[in-house]
Amino acid sequence: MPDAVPTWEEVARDHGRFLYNVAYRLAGNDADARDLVQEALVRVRRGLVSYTPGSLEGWLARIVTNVFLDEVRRRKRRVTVALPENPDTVLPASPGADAAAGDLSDEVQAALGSLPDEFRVAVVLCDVVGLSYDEIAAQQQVPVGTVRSRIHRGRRMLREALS
Amino acid sequence: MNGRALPDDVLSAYLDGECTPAERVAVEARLAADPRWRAELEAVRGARDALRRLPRREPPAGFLESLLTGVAASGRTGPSSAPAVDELAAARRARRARGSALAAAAAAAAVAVAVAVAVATPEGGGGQEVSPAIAQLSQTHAATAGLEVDPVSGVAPAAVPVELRR
Repeated sequence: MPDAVPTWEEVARDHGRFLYNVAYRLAGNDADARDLVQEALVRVRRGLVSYTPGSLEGWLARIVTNVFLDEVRRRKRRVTVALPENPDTVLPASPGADAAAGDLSDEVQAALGSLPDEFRVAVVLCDVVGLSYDEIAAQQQVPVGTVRSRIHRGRRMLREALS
Repeated sequence: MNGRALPDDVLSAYLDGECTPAERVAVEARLAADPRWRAELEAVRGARDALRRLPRREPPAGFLESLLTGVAASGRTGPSSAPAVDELAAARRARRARGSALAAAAAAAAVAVAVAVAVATPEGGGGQEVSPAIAQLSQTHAATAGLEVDPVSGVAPAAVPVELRR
């Protein structure tokens, strides 16, 4: 039965690493990434009831991205916590605590973490997950032109941050 | 710069094969004529390649296994594993949110309310048993409360199951 809906355990076991990678690229640190994965798996379990077999990783990417953006919004609403200097980057990358220093990928991760959240999401979905512009637009419920703009501006900012 | 008719964000779409045939022709004409566009294209390509070369970030050893083990240990698998998954996530969120005396006080107050509700007997039957035993709950809480542990996730399992045995 090739198109059977996976169980929660199968998703966690077979796609947990994928979820963690996307979560880490969005959040920029291990602790937040683990939280995002756990919350995403809660939503996966709820969503499996109505899941239609298709692009499972695309579906998972949408879930973990939505968890990330929800968490960003939640933190922005918290008035008791001081906001960071740039309110558009509420979950800034802090790879230094989690990985060896001097790694080129750490520099890229740090640059990624400096992007405004919506740009970060766009480039991660495009260049890390490998979704098409149409898929990202459908997932984020924005016009394709907005996706195009976010990806381009995100890449340009990334380049500036790396130079 | 005559880029108004052709926004520069078309360059990423061009790189990704996401622009229309007409846009592709226009971009290539512009690239041939404008060195700044060529520089922009290379900058964007460099950023894209840097992202695509990122290695897959692996979760810490044991993380995914702990999620699966937690569900298995709960005795609930398949669709019925839902509450266990929720509890794992809730406990983790609570751990992340802990760390204030206020939270500990709030948790202690929650236990006090739970105990008060459990002890109060609407029918006035003062001798009714409660399950689990209040004394045991209190001891458990006393042993685990404080700033060294997560006050919310430590208390919640003890408070929630309390119900009167009729």
